[in-house]
Amino acid sequence: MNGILHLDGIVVRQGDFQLGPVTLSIRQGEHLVLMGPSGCGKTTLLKAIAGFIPLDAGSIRIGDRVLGDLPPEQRRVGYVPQSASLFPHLRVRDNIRFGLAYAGINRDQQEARFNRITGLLGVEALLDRRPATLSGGEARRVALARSLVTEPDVLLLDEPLGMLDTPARHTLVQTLKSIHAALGTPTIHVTHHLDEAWMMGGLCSLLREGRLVQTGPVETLLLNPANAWAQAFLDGGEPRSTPGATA
Amino acid sequence: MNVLRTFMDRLSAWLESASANIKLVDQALSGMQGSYVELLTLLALGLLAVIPIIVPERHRQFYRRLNQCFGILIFIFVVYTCLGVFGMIRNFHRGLMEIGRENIIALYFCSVPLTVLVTSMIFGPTFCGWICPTGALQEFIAIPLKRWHRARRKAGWPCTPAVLTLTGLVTLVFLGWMAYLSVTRVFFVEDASVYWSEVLVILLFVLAFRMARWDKALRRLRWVSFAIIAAGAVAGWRITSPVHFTFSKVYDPASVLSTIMVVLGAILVPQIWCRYLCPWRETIAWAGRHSVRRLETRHDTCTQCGQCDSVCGVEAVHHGTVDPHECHLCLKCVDTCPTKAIRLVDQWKVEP
Amino acid sequence: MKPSRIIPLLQVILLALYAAGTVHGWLEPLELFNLLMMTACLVTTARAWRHPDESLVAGGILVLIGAHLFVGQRIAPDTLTGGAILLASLLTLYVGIQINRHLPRGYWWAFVTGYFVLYALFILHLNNAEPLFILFLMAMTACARSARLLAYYWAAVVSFTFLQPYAWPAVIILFFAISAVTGARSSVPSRLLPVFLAAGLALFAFVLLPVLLMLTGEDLHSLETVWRDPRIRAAIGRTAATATVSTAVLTLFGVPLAYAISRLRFPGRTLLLSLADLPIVIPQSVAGIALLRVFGRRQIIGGWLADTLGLPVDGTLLGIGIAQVFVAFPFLLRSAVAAFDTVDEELELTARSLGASPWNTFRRIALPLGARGIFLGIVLAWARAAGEFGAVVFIAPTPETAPVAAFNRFNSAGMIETAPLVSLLLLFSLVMFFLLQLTTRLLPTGAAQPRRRP
Repeated sequence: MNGILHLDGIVVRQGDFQLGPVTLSIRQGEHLVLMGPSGCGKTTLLKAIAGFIPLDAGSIRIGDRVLGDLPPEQRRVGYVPQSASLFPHLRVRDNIRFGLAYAGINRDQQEARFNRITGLLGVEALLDRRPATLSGGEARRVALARSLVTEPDVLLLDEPLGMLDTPARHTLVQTLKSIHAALGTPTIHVTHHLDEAWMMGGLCSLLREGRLVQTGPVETLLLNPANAWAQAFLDGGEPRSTPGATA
Repeated sequence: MNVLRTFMDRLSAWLESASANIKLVDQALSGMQGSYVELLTLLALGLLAVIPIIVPERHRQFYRRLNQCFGILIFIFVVYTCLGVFGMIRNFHRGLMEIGRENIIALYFCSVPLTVLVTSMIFGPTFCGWICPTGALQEFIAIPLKRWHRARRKAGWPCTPAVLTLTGLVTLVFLGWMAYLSVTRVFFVEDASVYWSEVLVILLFVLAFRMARWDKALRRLRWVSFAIIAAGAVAGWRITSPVHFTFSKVYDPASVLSTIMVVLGAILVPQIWCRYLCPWRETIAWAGRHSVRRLETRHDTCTQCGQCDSVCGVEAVHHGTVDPHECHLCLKCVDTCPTKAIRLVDQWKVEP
Repeated sequence: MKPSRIIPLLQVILLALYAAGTVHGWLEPLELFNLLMMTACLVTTARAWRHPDESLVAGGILVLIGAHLFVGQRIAPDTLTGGAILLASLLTLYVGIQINRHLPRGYWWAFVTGYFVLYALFILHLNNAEPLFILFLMAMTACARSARLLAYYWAAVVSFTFLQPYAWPAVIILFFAISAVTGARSSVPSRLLPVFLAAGLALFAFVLLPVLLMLTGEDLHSLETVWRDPRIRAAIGRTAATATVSTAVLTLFGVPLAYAISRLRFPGRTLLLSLADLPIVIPQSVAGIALLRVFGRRQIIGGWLADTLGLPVDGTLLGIGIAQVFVAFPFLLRSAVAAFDTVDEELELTARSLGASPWNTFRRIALPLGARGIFLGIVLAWARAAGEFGAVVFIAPTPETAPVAAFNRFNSAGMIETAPLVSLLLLFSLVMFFLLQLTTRLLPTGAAQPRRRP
């Protein structure tokens, strides 16, 4: 597996807003939590990596593969959007199987992958349900499973713990950790909660108005904020008032 | 086959002579002018509907039987309206359409159904329990079988060999009669009563196997039959009621068949027609739900002895509570209750 | 004097009346009706004796019977009509007393006013309407306890007396309106909304009335006669076939176009969307003539089609199809665009990142999720195509489609003769429409479904 993600000075312009230039690289097995206030360009960054938004400058590489202008379906990037976005007309089983049909593998392999991933995420009991009947935590789990069965080189999670209550967040964090232990897929995890970074306990990046402020292990960030803004953000002035967040 | 045919020929000859006798009787009564007949019915029905309030409680069930006999007399000899009751729905429609054109005729056609509905809304649905000749016929037929029915009900209407044999016999009667009819006469659309007997036979089979479980669902068939008859009335189809024979001047073999099927059905399942097929019952149930008079249970005095449950002919009482949608207001439950927990209550205020 | 003392007094007066009437010959003592009256008097008196608290009812009954013995003969054509009026009056008396006793004042006044309105209507206003008075009076006593039932009741009175030929449609519409307005519940308490609802329903009634009238007006036999006419059957079959083919063609081109319009932003998009409504805006006859200008046998394109390809347009099924496509186009496009707009783009992005190509994304995500709206569009387009008259009659007066056949029959035979055909067509379209609507409900939607929060 050649799953090492390099972002090399990428720039995306949307009207007045400019993302980047951002340079970042994530190694195999790493989990990067990308933090920043609302409207700082976190989701835009993810969509640019996934190939939904064209780059204005810079390049994206996974291993020695240059993503360039590849359409999303050929990038091998797993994207889990903010609201899980399960296909409402398909049962959980068919949701998870959706990507397998395009993975270019035979039926036995498909079956094996399906069983492995559903087992890993503990969604076997949900397979015959409709997405509308799932709870928030269950829906996220299924969305993760749906992405992981395609064995992406990179996993992009947009607010995976948003709008969940505390126990559901804790179980989902445990799940994310066990996925990392089992698969080691490099992951970018977007949030505006410091405590998520704290719970995940890996690398952490701060994004402000389209630019990276600081990157490093979460402890380092807390102890040595790069500037006054980072200090203020990490002290939790603005974004931690969301209900459900543990203070 | 030949034997069957001779038998049937004799039977129909006998029936014809019997009906000739009936005609002798009704000639005496139909000496009255046509207009009187309907008005007299209206008066009589009004009176019969009020009687349940007036009669002394001690022999109430006796008076009820008497009332039912009067009902039969009125409907056979005076109105000639089949109280299988399709006629009532059709007449009601026709009468309403005559308003403004022929007011007198409008009154004649509307009087019976309207009186029944109005009295049901004010004095409770007494029509079903105290007047309706079809109901009375079924009840009278089932009197000797009271014990058997109660035992079956207690056991949850099991599918016993006896029930199956009886159902088979009823079907045989039906098929034999149909075979006879098919070689002796031509069928018309008007012979719709034959189809109702078919429905009844099929229903009997369903009930033989699944009565306890499907009882509730099957009662919705009444809605279906109401819809069919109402649509038929508006569209101008003629649909003859089953139970036509007994309650009308028309004595045709197809109607006799349906009457006999209802009677035989009532032997197997008490009040089968009222429970599952009667379209008019559905309108009375509606009136009964909006009725002033209803049965109420005082649960503090009720001992849950279950006597009212078992005495009810249409299974309208469950654990001492009367379902106004099914209740015929025959008041048997009131009379059997040892603690007098069920009573008639007038509720003039409508709960919002 | 106690009310219970009045009863024997009244009884004595009644007996005196009875005797006097018999002696003077305006009462037949042994007539069934009079016997019944006397029996009723005796029963009432006996009961009032034992239950003094009901003496008000009993006194009223006696007075009514006395009045009927006296004057009943004169207002009613015969004894039994008189008897029926008496029965209705007794019922009214009983119910009136109970309402006065148990219900708020308003009900009592509504009851009394209702009585006099009925009296004025049927006895004074209409001639020979005593039977109607009896009927409606009895019905009013049954409905007087509930404002809602009373509303239904008066709706029925108005329908069956003043709107007689339209009675059933009127009853259906009015009952629907009453149950809608009285049953209306809103999350924001408001008295304005039911008023708006009622006002809107009043207008809607004018839409429903002709339809219901046509549907309830015909009996089965005339419908059957029309159905047996081979010309009519051919016309209906032709309509169904051409409408189905036109809709299929429309769907094949319209749905992809709608997807493109929904997902792409391009110059002229708004213009295109407005232009798509053009067939709705222009009069249908104008559309027909315009189509003829293009596809007519002597025009360039029409001539080319007829001579080179051997496909003449005017007066053929092809012409009918073209006219139908023309008028039905906006219905399909509008609904399909709206349907694709409701499909969350995020779902499609997710599908793409899972490896699905744009075509597969369209096929497996957008199309199934937009299915309900698209299908609704197809239904509307089909209905429009099948019902098109104006454009079709110019480009193809023959072979007849069903609407054209109705028009021709109306011109040659008149209203009465056409009515069964019209109601048959109505029935046919309604059945199709309801079936299709039912199917539509079974399809999934792309709109966000409520998610159960943990």
